[in-house]
Amino acid sequence: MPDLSPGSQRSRIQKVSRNFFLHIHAPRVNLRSLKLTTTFGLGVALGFLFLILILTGVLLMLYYTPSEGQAYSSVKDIMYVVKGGRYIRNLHRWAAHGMVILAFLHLIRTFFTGAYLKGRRLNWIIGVAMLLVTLLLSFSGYLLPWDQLAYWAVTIGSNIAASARELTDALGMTQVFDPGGFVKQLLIGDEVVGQEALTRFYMLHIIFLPLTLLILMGVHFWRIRKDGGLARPADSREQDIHTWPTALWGELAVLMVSLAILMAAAFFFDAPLKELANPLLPENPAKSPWYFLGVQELISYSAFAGGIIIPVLFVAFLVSIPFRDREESHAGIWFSGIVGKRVTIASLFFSAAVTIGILFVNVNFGWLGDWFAGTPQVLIILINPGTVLAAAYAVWSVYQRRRTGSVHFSAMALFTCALVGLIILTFVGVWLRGPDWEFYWLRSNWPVQ
Amino acid sequence: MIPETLMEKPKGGLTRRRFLGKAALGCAAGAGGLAGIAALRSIAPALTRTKKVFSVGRLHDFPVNTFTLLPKHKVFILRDHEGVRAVSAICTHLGCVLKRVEDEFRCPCHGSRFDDSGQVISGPAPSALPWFKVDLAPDGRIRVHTNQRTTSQDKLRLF
Ligand code: HEM
Ligand code: FES
Repeated sequence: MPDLSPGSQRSRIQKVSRNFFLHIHAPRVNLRSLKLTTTFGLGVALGFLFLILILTGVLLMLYYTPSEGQAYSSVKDIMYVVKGGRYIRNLHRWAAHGMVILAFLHLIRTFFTGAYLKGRRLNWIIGVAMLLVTLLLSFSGYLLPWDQLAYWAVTIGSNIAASARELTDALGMTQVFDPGGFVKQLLIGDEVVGQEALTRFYMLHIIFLPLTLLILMGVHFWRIRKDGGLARPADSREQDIHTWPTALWGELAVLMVSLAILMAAAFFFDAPLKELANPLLPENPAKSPWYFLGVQELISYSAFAGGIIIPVLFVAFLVSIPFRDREESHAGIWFSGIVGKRVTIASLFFSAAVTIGILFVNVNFGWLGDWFAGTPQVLIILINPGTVLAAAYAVWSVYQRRRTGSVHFSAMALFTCALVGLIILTFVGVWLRGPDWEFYWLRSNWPVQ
Repeated sequence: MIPETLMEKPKGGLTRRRFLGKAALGCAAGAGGLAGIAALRSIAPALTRTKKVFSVGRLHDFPVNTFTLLPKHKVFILRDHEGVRAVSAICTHLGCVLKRVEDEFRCPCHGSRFDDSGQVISGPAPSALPWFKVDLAPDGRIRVHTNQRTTSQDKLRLF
């Protein structure tokens, strides 16, 4: 007769294996995986935030009306009439921003612990897809309130989708072949953001993207089990801790902490709602949501290079990492030890210096188009502050490859450079760009209009 | 009972069973593909709300030597002593609506500036503003065709 008393080995394993929901866990985990410094609970927090978004989103759907004429007033009703509506909306908004931030942090964590190694390639790629879906989900939600902020952010965003036009324009073929315009039409269903765009974004936001994310999440969690738990160094011990209840206590703690932070944020800060969208009067400056402002800064140099070439290169780099880097011994070790730490820190300083340097030149002295009147547009697409930065990062990464003789460390160098660049550009886009996309140190220096 | 001879697999060759299996798969993939293409085509809008040809008013609505912004259609109508022209009011960078400031068109979003003929003076805008064909509708009103480009010199001459 097996021992089935509470607390026995067997009952603990059955707790997990007999429950549909708990079954996404393996019955046992490694002690290392539960340490805070291994994961910082980021992935688990992402899952919880998604859950909260579904719950609050369903509540918002009861009152929200996706029509050009009523969307704005329905959000206003949610804010000022519906009991608790403002709090629910705040939770939804801050959880959405939280997901974007945590998704980036989770990416950073998995990268620097080499968690894409040892057969975890597929899960890394799924993760990249989930990051993109999260960004799209947030972006599609951004339009729904139909205020000035939403309207112009999405106008800018949808024209970023059309930025292939810069190339076809430069080649003089947009009239006959216009892939950029086609993508834009698919996205917003019209030439300008209007009812069609709202209908499409609403569909994407409440069905297509959440469902996609849910399915990807299912595969993501299933892969973690299949891959034998989290990545860990070869010399670590076997799975030695029961999931029930130890790992679940950890997860509960993450839930409590994220909930506490979220609830406090929703209590103290209201989600913005500006005046009703006015298609004739652009916001000045018109800014897309903050997580696209790094890209928007790049786009202010060249739409095609900044909106398409560089983002595509970045995603291609992320996806290619586990195919190029096969140095399995680095799995599960933060920064892969002392050499990796040095490479990362050096790359951090290198990238910060180069990025700030190029920005300084661009802000103070302009660029090719300002120096030589009549510079052909194709040249600006190829040589602009964005592409120069990307090239500098690539050269640095090749240099690290030569120096360390390791693909792993050169990937670390490139990843660090790209990330630091993205952070700096985003910072500039969010805080240092004012009306007419001019550079201002302080918001109080903006000209009064 | 299936006769023995049908179940035998000739070495390396295609049995009837395998052939039918492959053919069925091929048909399913083909049908799925075609259905997919049809579904995708439905996503691209066949009609949009944005009008490409529209009347903007009569000659006396536009004083001589002015640029008039028509917000609904996002074009500027330029009237001078010879005739009428129309130029796009949509910034070629990322689509904000331009303003007429002093002698130029300015974009409030990322600061592109265009001169009177629509050429870029400065800023991130990659190309000049397009000029549109203007003619008279049968009812005598001025009509703009945003699907037909012309040059900045080409006017509807009225005198
Ligand atoms: C990862 C998931 C999600 C993200 C990142 C996200 C993001 C956003 C954002 C940024 C907004 C604009 C928020 C605002 O102004 O309050 C929004 C609004 C909205 N979301 Fe979500 N959302 C997510 C999931 C969902 C789900 C699952 C649903 C419904 C099933 C949903 C339904 C809605 C509705 C109805 C609105 C409009 C209400 C409003 O604008 O206040 N969302 N979402
Ligand atoms: S949209 Fe006009 S400058 Fe960017």
